[in-house]
Amino acid sequence: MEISTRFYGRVNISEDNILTFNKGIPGFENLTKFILFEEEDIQDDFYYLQSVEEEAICFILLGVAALKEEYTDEINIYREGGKNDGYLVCNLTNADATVNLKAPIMIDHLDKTGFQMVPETSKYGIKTKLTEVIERG
Amino acid sequence: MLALTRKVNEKIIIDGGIEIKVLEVNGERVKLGIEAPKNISIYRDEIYVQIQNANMEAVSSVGIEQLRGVKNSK
Repeated sequence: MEISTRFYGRVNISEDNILTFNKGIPGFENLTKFILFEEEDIQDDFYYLQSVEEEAICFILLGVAALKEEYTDEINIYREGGKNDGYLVCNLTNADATVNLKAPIMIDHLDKTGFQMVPETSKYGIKTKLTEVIERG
Repeated sequence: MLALTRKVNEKIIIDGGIEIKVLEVNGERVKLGIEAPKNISIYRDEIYVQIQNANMEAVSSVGIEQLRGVKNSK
């Protein structure tokens, strides 16, 4: 099927790749169908989580593999032994690039489901500088 | 809104499967105990609202080209 995307115009996707977020994503509770694209131009660790239902809604995500080890302990708990993969929501402005370390998005690629973790407590910030958390190559 | 008055150690039950018990009242603070099935998400309102706001801001992100600068500064 063909969908409209925020960054790449019309894109052909396979329905098998659609991820279901049963409870939506906080702030977008009504959107439950997303597709994950890998960003290929910049570097391997960035992804787009594009809503299938609403063209304008697309999250830019950072894969947890890109993080320095010291930032991965909480996320590893939510991975439930490797069942889920973790991603952080990026907030990019012209002045700043931050990631939400507190509430990672967890995706089960086998089940094709996802959710955003809303932790009761977290030692990490909702706006942590990207340059602070990524492993320097 | 439904308003119910409860004493310490009294409960309310929602939809048969969710129990909320008043554990402690101390001045302005009320401690609640909640028992619910694992698939029910329970959050303090302010944490959820904070994440909602962060997400709404994040979807206005500029394109990923902005990151070229970040990458080059490594």
